[in-house]
Amino acid sequence: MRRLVFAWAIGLLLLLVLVLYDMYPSTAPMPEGFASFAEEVGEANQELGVLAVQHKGRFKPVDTFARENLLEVFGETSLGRHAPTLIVLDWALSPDAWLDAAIIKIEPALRSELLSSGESPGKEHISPHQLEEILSHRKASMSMAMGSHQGPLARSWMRQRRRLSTFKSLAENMRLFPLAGQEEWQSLGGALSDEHSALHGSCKMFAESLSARNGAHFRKATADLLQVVSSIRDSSYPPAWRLRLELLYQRTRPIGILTIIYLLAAIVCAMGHFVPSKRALRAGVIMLWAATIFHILALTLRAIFAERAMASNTFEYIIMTTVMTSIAGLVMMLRKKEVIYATIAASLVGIAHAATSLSPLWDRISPLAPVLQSKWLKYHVSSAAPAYGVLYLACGISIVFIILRGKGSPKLTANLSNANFKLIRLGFFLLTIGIITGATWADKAWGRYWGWDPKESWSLVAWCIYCAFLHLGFSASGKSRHILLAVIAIVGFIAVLFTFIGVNYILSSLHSYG
Amino acid sequence: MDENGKAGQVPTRHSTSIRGWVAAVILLVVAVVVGYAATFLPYDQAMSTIYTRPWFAAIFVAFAAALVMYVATCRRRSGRVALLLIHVGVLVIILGGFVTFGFAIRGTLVIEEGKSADSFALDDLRLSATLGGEEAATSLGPFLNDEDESCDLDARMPIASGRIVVSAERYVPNPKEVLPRLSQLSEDGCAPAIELTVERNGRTGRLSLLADDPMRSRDSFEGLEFEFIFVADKDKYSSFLSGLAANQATEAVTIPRPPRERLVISSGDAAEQTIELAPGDAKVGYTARLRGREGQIRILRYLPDFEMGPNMQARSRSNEPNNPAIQVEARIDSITSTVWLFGKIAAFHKPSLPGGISITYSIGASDQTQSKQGATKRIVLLSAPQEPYAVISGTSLQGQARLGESIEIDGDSTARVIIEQFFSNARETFEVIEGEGGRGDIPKCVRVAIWDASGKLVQRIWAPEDTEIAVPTPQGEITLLLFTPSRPLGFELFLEKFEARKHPGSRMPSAYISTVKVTDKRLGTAIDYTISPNHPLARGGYKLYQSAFDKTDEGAFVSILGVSRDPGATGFYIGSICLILGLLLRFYLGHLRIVRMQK
Repeated sequence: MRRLVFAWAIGLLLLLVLVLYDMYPSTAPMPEGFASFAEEVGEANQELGVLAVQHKGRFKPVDTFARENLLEVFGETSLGRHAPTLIVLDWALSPDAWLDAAIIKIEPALRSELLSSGESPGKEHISPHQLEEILSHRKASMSMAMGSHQGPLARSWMRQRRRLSTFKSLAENMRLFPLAGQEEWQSLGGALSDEHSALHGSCKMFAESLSARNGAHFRKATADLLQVVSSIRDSSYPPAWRLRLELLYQRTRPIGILTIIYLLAAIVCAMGHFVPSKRALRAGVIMLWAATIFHILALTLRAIFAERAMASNTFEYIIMTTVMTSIAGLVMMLRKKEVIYATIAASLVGIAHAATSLSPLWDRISPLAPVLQSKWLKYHVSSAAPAYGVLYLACGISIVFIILRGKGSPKLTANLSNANFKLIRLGFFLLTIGIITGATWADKAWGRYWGWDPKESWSLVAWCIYCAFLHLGFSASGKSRHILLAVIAIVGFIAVLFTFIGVNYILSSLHSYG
Repeated sequence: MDENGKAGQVPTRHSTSIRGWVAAVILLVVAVVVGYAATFLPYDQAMSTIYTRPWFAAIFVAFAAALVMYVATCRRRSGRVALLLIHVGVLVIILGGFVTFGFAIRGTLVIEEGKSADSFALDDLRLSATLGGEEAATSLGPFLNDEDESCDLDARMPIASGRIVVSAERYVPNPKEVLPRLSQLSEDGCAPAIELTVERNGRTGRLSLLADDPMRSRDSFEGLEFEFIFVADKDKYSSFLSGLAANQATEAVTIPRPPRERLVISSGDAAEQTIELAPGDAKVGYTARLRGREGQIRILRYLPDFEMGPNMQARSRSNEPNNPAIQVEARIDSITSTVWLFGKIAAFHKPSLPGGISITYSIGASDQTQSKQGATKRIVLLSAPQEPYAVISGTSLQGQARLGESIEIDGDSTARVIIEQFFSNARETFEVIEGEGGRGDIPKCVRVAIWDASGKLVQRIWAPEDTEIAVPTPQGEITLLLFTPSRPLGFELFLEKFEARKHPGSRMPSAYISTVKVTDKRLGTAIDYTISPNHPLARGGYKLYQSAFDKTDEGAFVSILGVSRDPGATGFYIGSICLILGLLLRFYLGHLRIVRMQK
C-alpha cells in the first residue's frame, strides 16, 4: 500500500514537471535589434497594454488581445521574455521584419507536409514566408483534403491557414479607436491607411518609431497615441481600473499558479501518508486551503473584470467545477476527520487543472451569445458546476475505496464509503436541480423543455446511473454492495465527464458551450 | 449505508432490496439506451429510430408503472412524505413527457417587417391523396422540416377502401439534387435514365442514374460503383450500366448494339428528315414536329409482331420484334390521316401523305461494337422492343434480367442489383425544381409509390411540395399533394420592427429583438411586446420565441419565430417541484418534525 502511495506521489511529480515544462515560454529567433529595443522600451509598452481594444464583441486590454493572437499564431500566450503587446504590435505594424522568423505554429497533423526532409523533426514553428509559399503550392492537395467532407486533415489545413491569416490581419483587427457616430471602432490598420483620419498622424509616427527600433521616439509616440486615445474616448470606453485588473490577471496567470499549488499540495499530502508524517500532512492541508482561497479569489477577480460570474465555455466550467471539488474535499476532511479527503481533492483538482493547461483550452473570455443571456444561466450553472465538482470528488473517493478495500483499516474504508454516499447524495441533488433548471431554460429559450439533444440525453444517463446508485445504496444489502456502489459511482462520473467534455468535442450539440 | 439508515429505518429489508434492484435495473436500461442513441446515432436518426419508437415509450411506461406500484404500496412509517413526493414527482414528469410527445404543437412563424400574420406553419409535412372524392392524409413526421438530408420514409396509407395504397418512400429536402419525375418523354435528344435497387452486405440502396449527365450518371453503394453510360455517335447507339467493384482488374467488354430504329420523313421540296427512335422508347404517344411545314406526326400504336386478326384487326402475335410496326397519325396542313408503317419492309413500303410527303420506318441491323470505356467491366445493356430488359455481363455482375428481377453480383447471394425502372428518354423530365433560397422557400419533395390491392406497383412518382399531381390508376385518378399544414394563432401579430443589436463598438450581435403588436379581435385588445431570445411571448396558449432571422431581397428583415404549445410542460414543472422538495426533505430535512409527524 505504501508503495502505491509513493508511486502516486511520483506520478503527480512527473505531471507537475510536465506542466512546468509546458508553461515555460518557447522562444523564436527574433528579427535583428528587436530584443534590445524591447528591453529599452519596457515601461512604455506597459502603458500600451492597458489600452482598450474592441475584439470579437468585447472590450479588452491590448495585452489580452496580444496574448490571444499570440496563441492563435504562435501557439502560446507569450513568446520569449518579451511583452506580448510589443511583439503583436510589431507583427501588426512591421510584418516584413518577421516574415522569415519561425513564428507560426505547425499543426501536428501537417508536420510531414510542412517540414522538408532537411529540417529537424522537432521543429514546431514555420515562418510566414515559408508557409505562404507552401500554401500556394499545395492548393491542389488542400482542396482535395477540403473536398473529403471536412476530414481531420482538412480541418488542420484550415487551422494552419487561419494562423497565417491572423498574423496578416492583425493591424485590421486591432480596433483601438472609438469614433463618434461609427458603429465599429477604428482599427490601427484603418487609421494608418486613411490619410484623412485625425488619427493618421499619430498612428503613422507610432508605426515609424516602432519599425525604426528607436526607443526614444517610440516612447514619445506612445505618449502621443495615449493622449489621442484619451481625448476621443466616450462613455462606452471601459474604465481603466477594469482594464488594469484584467492585465493583472493575465500577467499573473492565477489559474496556472493554482495548478502548481494543487499538485504540490497533493504531492506533499501523498508523501505525508507515505512516510507517514503528520507535519507533511498538515503542510499539504494548509497548501490546499491556500489554493482553495486563492482559487476563489481568482474566480472573483475574473468575475469582476469579465462582468459576469457564470461559466459560458468549457474552461470557465472547469475552473468553477474544480473549486467545488476542493471545497467539498476540505469540508469532508473536517467532518470525517480524515486527511485522505484533502489528498484526494488536491490530486483530483491538480490533475484536472494540469489536463486543462496541457490541452488547447485557454482562459478566454468572450461576450455572452444572445441565447445565453438569461437568468437561467445563473441558476443552471450554479447548480450543475457544483454537482460535477462534488461527483468528481465522489469518483476519486470510490477509486481510493476500491484500492484500499481489504487492505486499509476497516474504519477508514467505512469512512470512505460513507463519505462517498453523502457526496453522491449531494451531487445527485444538485444534478437534479441542474437538469431541471436547464430544461426550464430550454423551455424559455427554445420552446421545448426536453429535446433529446446529446447533452440533455447524457445528463439523463448520468442522472439515471446515480439514481440507481442511491436506490441500491438505500436498499441493497450484502457484503459486496459497497464495491458495487463504488463501481457505479465511477461509471456515473464517466457519464458526467462525457456529458461535460465528450459531448462538446466528440458529438455535435446545441450546447456548444459549457 | 449504515449511517444513513437513521434517515428512514427500513422495516422489511428484503422487499425493499428487491424494489431497489428493480428500480436500478430500469434506470440503467434507460441510461444504456439513451447513452447509445446520443453517442452513436446522428440526431435525426436517433429521433426516428429510438426516441419516437413505441418500444422506447414502453420503457418509460414500465418506468411509470414501477413508480405507480411503489406509490401504491409504500407503507413506510418514516420519511414517507419525502419518498412519495420524489416518486410522484418523477411519475408526473414522465406523464408530462407523454403528454408533450402526444399533444405538443410546434411550428414556425415567418414574418416580415411591417407585415402581420394570424397563422403559422406547423413543423410537419403531410401527404394527402384524393381518389374519387375520398381523401386520406398522412403525416410524414416533424423531423423532415429542417434542412435535413434526404431520408427513407415508411408512411403508408390506404385509400378508396384499401383498393389503393399510397406510400411515401423517400424524402428529399431540396430536389435539385435528385431525379424527380421520370414519367414523360421528350422529343429531341436522348437521355436514358435508370433506377436500380442494390442490395449488398445486408443493406439496400436505391440509385437513380441519368446517362449523359456529368453529375448524375455515377453513383456508388457499399463499394460498388455504378455508371450509366450512353454513347451516341453517328452510327453507334447504346446505353449501358457498369457496376465497378473496387480493386478489380479492368477488362474490355463487347456490347451488342441494339437495333436502330428510324422514322424518315421525306418531301419533294425539303430535305429528308430523320428521326431516331431510341430502342426501348415507349413509342406510343411519341410526337415529332415537321421541319419547315405546319404539321406533326404522332405514333398511335406499336406492335412488335404485326399480324391481321380474324376480324381484320391489327394485333401482335408475340412480344418478339419479328415484324415491328407502328401506326402513325399525320396532321399536315390541317389534314389528318392514319397509316401503318412496317419496319422490316421499309424499302418497299413508303406510304404517301398529303403535301407530297412520304414516310418510312426502318430498323437497322444489329451489329457488334467495342466499348469505348476501357475501364468499365460489368455492363448492363438496356434495349427493349416493348419492355426493357437488362443484359449484365462482365466479371462482377452476371446474369440477365427484366425489370424488377434481381441479378446476383459475383454469384454472391448477399449482393444483388434490381433494375426498377428504365426510361429511354428522360432528359426533360428530370425536372429540376429551383429553390429560391432562404429557410421558408426550399421546396421539399417526396417519392410516392402507389400500389394496388394485390400489392402490385402502379407507379412511382416524385411529388414536390405544394404541387397537385394527378396520377392515373386502374381505380381512377389519384391526386397527390405534399404540404405543410398551417394553424390559426387566434390573434393577429404585427411585426413593427426587427433589430439585431450589436455589442458596443463592434458588429458582434448582442441581441435579436422583434417588436410586435398583438391584436386580439375578439377581446378588442392590442398590446405591444418585444420578443427576444429567452424572452418569449405567451399568448392564446402559444409561446412565440425568437428563433432566427433573415433578410428579403429588398433588405427588409424577416423575423423567424418558433411557435409552441405544450400542455405537457405543466406536468414537467409540477413534477420537478415535487421532486426537488422530496429530495430536500429526504436528504437534508429528514430530522424536521413535520416529516416524523405521521407516527
